[in-house]
Amino acid sequence: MTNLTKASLLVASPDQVSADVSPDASGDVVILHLKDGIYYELNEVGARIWELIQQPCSVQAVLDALLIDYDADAEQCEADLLALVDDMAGRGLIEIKDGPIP
Amino acid sequence: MLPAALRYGEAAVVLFDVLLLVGMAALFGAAVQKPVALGGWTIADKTLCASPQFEKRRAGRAHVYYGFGLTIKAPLDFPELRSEQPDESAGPCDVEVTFGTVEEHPQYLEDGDRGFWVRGEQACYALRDVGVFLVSAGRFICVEAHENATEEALRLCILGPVLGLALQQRGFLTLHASAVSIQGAAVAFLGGHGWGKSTMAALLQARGYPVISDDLMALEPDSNRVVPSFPQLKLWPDAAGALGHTSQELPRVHPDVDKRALRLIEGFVCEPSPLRRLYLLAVGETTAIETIPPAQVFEELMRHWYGSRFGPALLKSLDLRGHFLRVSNLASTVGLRRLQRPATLLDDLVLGETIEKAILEDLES
Repeated sequence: MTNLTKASLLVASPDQVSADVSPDASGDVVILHLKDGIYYELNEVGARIWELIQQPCSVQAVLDALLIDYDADAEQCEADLLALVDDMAGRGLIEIKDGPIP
Repeated sequence: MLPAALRYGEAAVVLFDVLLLVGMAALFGAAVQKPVALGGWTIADKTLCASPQFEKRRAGRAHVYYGFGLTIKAPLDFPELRSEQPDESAGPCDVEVTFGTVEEHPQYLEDGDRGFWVRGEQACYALRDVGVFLVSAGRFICVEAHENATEEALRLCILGPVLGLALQQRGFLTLHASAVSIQGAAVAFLGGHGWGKSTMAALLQARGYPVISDDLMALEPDSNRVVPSFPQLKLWPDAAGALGHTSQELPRVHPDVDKRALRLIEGFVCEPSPLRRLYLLAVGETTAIETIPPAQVFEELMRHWYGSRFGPALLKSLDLRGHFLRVSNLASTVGLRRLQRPATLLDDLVLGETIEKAILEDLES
């Protein structure tokens, strides 16, 4: 796997399918991994990240968007995001690619 | 405004507690049984007949019936189904049932009396001492009846799991639910065996709401419209009794099963109805209707998918992406609420009125 840095590109894996199952599109997202049949539920913040990475998006860009949306500590936010991204990649829900050379 | 649990500053709360893992239960694990898929199969040779007692049937003219919006041609009497006048000019029937031999029988589970395999457009279901049923392309049902099988048992199987498979192959979304028509739209009751689906439908039918389906509910391939199944409710004797029918006057659905068939002459819907609401049945202290979080709605719909009885093999054989999107769409557009009612459903004649009132109020909200 490629090293995860802020320049890394994140994109949703083709092996999954997701949908917002709430009646008012309020961000109750469910993801089904098509290969292992495990499904996941995202909370509101997770749904926002998921929305962002439907197109390839750098970790930095996701972070910037979250810091605009939420009143959060930048350092903590970055650590949480990296941990989450690592977890989701491990579950085959997203792919991490090397970003453009800075 | 962030949900409280996600707000920063509340020290220990990690912002990205995202993968709630509520749904970590693997879908494939939600199966009722573990079917065994075997290699190599052939379509049964229809000139063979492994069921001598039904041989005479093959010679006779097949009857044409109507159920789930489909014309069904079968060499069996189906008193449950509405019969159609055979119309030679109308072309072939939607579903054709024949007796024959199924070459590859599914293996029965060690502790069970059912077996199943699926491959491409074919699925095969077996019920011990009843028969083996091969369903192909949603059109052909080949029945290899067990020598001791009764017609009741065969009919029960064909009108349930076997037609369920044919409907699935035809692209219908099937759910384990009963449904009645309220204000011109379908209201459905989801639940497992013995949760009171049929009783609920019967209770409302007695209050003037026509029945749409019982046990197996099918939604049209490209819409959330419920197709009418056939005009029968399967009731336990106490339920039948509470609704004013004596058990003696109602035929048993099967010689070994005490459930009774209440065949409806009226009070049955014949046209597809838009699905307005789904209720998950539950028992509690009082009659109450409560909302269910969206992700749990999805989970419950998957759990009560009619095909789940065939185990993971059927689910894996599907276009899983399409199935997921279909169920998600149902979750977000129709929604599912929990309908709780006291256990004494049948002892209390006022309860029917209470439940009716609760549902009507809920539909208004």
